[in-house]
Amino acid sequence: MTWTDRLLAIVNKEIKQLVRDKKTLALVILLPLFLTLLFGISYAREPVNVPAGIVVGDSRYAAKVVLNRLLSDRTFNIKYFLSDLKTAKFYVEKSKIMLAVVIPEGFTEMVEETHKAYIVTIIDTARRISLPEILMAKFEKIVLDCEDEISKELYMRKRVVAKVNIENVVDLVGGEPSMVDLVAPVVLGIMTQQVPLTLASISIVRERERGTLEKLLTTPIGRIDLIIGKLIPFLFVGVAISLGSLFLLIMIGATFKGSYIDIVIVSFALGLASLGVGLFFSVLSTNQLQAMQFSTFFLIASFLFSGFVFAPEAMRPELRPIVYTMPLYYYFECTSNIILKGLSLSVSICYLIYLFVYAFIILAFSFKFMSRKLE
Amino acid sequence: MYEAGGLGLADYSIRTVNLWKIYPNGIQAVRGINLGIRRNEIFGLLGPNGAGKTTTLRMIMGLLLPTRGKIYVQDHDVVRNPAIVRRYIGYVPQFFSLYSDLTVFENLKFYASLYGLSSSVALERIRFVMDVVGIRRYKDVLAGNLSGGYKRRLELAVALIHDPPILILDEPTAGVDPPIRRAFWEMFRDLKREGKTILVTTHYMDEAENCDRLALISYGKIIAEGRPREIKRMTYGGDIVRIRIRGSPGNVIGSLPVKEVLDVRRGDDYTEIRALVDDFSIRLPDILEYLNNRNIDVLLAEQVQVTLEDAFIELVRRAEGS
Repeated sequence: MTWTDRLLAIVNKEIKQLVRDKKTLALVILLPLFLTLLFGISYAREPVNVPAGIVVGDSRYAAKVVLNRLLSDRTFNIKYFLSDLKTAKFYVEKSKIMLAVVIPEGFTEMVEETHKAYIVTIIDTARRISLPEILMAKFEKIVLDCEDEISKELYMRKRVVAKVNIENVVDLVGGEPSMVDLVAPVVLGIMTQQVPLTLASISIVRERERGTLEKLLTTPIGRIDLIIGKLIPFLFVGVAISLGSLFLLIMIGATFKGSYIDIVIVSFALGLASLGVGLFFSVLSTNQLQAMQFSTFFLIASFLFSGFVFAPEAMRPELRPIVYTMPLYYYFECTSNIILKGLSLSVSICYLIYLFVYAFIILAFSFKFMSRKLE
Repeated sequence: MYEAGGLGLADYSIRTVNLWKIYPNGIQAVRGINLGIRRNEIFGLLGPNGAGKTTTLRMIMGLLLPTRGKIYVQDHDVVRNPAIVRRYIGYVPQFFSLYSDLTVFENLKFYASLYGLSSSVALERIRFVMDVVGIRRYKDVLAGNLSGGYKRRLELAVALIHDPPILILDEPTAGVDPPIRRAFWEMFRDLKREGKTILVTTHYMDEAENCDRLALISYGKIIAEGRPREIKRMTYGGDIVRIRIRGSPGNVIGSLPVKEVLDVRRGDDYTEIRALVDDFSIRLPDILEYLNNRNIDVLLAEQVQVTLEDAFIELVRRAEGS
């Protein structure tokens, strides 16, 4: 027997084992394909319905051209008509909207007199990695279209032939964050989520595989007590990792403007939710390999659908609920305000509540199924 | 059956009544088992692989719900009060079930805590059980680094940590060297002397002889139950004799004063007959006289010592045949 025969024997055995275990096979082949397909379908378009606000300081035709263009564009969802620039900036800072456009007072007059005008765009650069650039490019195109239309209006109304020029004055709320600033919340979130999630997902199946579970179940300890007792250390590990990672990121130069206590609270909520998801994977898995695969795919799904790397606004609206199944989404909504803007957690309190509700629902669900599985 | 022998229900540590376990795939692992395990006895559960022994134990432990039937441990219904029942039982599973990455002491301490022993009581019990199983000098060794025999000792120590009146041991000496197996059985006898009830499964027939009573399980049913000697005699319905005669027996075999001729083997110049008699000591003189009267030269006449293994194989064969 040559070495190739021996090699083939091993390959053959591995394939047989892989194919025989239908659940592992599905996890290995179908889940990645499903994720890829889902990602392709979800993001195969430009951003739509990005929450935006507008200040209309002029009611004449040139301002109306800009307003109509913005209202008719699918990219922006004008949620607020605001009174002034200060209010617009406040709304962006508090993450109520991603972008605000200010059409200043006397806009049409400027166009008529000098053929030049300006618009102020306030954009949030702290919440999504790639979205601000996409939105700016989109808005620049709208401005160019507006210039052409206003030039035509000017000729029709005043018989003046002139190329109108509109300057877009950009105000970046959150400044121009470096890549490490933008990636820091992602790293923090992934670390805080994955460690407790993975530990929780393998904890019960590991006991079962090692043969220690049966012995535990013959003691008077209740099923729920057993599960809680196993999960508590992982929660503390998650929070400790979160703080540890934050200190390391600050040491390597990442911006941190917020409160450590706020980060601990959000990390605690994310840790709880991660334990729930991990426990749910433990319910679904019959061995550690499957549990690890579930955790790995959830990590990939979190990258793709949690909204930080790829904006949910760029997803098809009908598939956007996927984002809401990712605990990291709520975490990012809270931490991006805390870390880069230095805002209090109270600004993102609804996302924190969502995260806690998510955690309790998934934990209750997983506890129920796990305790039933242990019976 | 637990009703036999004039014992009251209170005399039993464990009782099962018409116990059935049918798995969702339709396999009938246990089919109407009635067991009565008396207080302070060593009761053995014997059977081939897949006979339903471990399923029965797991139902008694409350780890599996029976499909039908009742189980009582110390007169508590196992299905209704599993948490209470678990306090009465120390369990040694078939395979190593402790934490390899904890030391002997840490494993014992952990289980003492699960059974709710206070620190001082736990320390006292840990010292005691370590001495009982002879593992004290390894108390700081990781359980994973113990030899197979000492791992089983540790399992037994953990099962004893809360001083349960009942021990359930699933193949406790599997994979253990014969001298250590002997030591284990000495320990079991000592524990019995201290008042423990022991339910044990084993594949080793020589070990099964140590049990006070046995039940043989095949295909989920009890096919024999009683003391080891009773089971051996019951299997054949009497004693077995072996008679070797010179030459051919001619036509005497059919008229031998025995209950049944089991088999006849012919050698070069002799014939060997195995036959069943009701009582060896009474029937042997009759057989010898019968053969002498017919001028048949008897070379050997002896009682065949039926082992429990013989009885076990025969009973299982009959059960499979039926």
